[in-house]
Amino acid sequence: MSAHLSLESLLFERIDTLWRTTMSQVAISPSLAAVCEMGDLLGPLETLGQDLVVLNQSLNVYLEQMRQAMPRLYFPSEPELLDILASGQGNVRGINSHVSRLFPGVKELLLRDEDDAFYGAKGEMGEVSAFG
Amino acid sequence: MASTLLFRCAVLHLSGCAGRAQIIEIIPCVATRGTNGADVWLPLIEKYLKDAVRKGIDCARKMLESTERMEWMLANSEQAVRVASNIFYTDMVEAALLDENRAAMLQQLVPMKMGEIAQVVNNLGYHMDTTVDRHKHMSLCILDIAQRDSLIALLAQDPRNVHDFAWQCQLRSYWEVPRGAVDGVVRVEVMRRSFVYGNECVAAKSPLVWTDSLENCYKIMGTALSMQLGAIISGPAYSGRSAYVKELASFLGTFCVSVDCSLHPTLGVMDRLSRGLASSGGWVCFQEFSRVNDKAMATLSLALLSIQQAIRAKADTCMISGEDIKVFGTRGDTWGPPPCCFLTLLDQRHGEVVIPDTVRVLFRPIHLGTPDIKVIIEVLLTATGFNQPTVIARRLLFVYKLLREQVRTVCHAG
Repeated sequence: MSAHLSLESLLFERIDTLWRTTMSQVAISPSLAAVCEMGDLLGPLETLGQDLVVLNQSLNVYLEQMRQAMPRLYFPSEPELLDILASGQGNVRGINSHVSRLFPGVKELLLRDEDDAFYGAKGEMGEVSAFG
Repeated sequence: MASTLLFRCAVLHLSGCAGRAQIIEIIPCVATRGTNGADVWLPLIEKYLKDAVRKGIDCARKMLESTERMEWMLANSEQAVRVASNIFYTDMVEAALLDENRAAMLQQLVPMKMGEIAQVVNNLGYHMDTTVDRHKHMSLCILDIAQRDSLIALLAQDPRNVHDFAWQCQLRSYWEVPRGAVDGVVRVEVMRRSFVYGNECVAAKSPLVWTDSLENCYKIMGTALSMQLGAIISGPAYSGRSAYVKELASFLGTFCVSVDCSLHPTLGVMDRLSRGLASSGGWVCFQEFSRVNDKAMATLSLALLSIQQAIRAKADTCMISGEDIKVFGTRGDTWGPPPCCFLTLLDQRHGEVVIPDTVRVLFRPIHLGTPDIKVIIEVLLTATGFNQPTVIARRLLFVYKLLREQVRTVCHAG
């Protein structure tokens, strides 16, 4: 997924580091007075918020593209969809926890170990049907 | 796209053929390595699953003519058995109706069906290897009983030909090879409207018992579909409002997404679901629709209007919240009924549920009564292996009524 959203993932990393460094500084001296003396916080935090809005928008555009490519993806909610798309890379088996949302009659998609290719489906009662 | 496909070739020797005839069967797999993501291989999985179902039905249909019925049932998948059995039934009845001596021909079919039911029920008394086998027996038995009852009803109405309303209002399946195509498809007819079976791999569950309530509901849903409308189904608790929708969806080989509206879907959710409805080919059934707020209802009704207009005009796209969305059937997928939306409502004790007219005009209203429990108990008992279910059914019905009186005070289903 990060290949599709390369610019956005860079932006997110920047936001994430900025937020983490600021918060760790605050954690060292949690009193309000000390935080007030830390210098200019408002400016960076405001841009950070704006950047997050931009990020959210481009994420939505990306999700809409995915859904148009595979219209059944309109039915799962956004967190579920992100989980499904995340399984597209690396963890293909992860799709099985959501597969019944996409294909109601299927409980499990069968995956060949040697080359990570799907070759069939298993139904709710354990009946196996090969693709074809 | 082609590079993502791996083909496993299995070379099978045809033993019965003279010479060295070989059939090369190509079993497709969906490769996931080297692809960008799930959006590439998920559509392929969808396509192959549907292909597998279609081939399964074709195989079951061919086998039925040459194989003993019980053997045939065990060799094929439950879905293929259901569809093929209905195709065969439709063929038989139409052949009888086309015959000059149609009353006698129809009359002959009834004892034949009775014999088939007796055979399945008899088999149910024996040990079965798997739950799937038992499940198949049950499904086939329920279907056979439904077909027997429809036959008896048909006989009573004395249809003159295949176009008689008594036959036209039943659910009929045909196997057809479209002109110019190599592969055949299943065509399903409901109330003079013809659909191509969606070949969706439907969840394995027993078919609903055929009751008058179900039959009437099918008839109205059939006419609603032929007018490109959805249906608002209202009725008391446990009258089978959403179960009927799912049953019709599985009969037409499409999938049905149920949305529980007691979670108060937001505008965004409605927007997302209507886009899915337009482009995926699945149906959406909103349960307890009265709990949806006005704005979400308005979003849905606008989107539905746009979808219905696009289907009527055979347009490629429809407009949903300012964006063009492709309508199902234009991406080259020729299988499956058009998008359709259903709403279910619980009968309120205090007055009518208020559904705005803008929503109401997009649907046909259906009101359900409680189904005939006695019939359901009898059929289910038969389908679990009871030869003479009437006496036990009467006792169970009595128990059921007593129990219902006990739990009446408990608030259920909302």
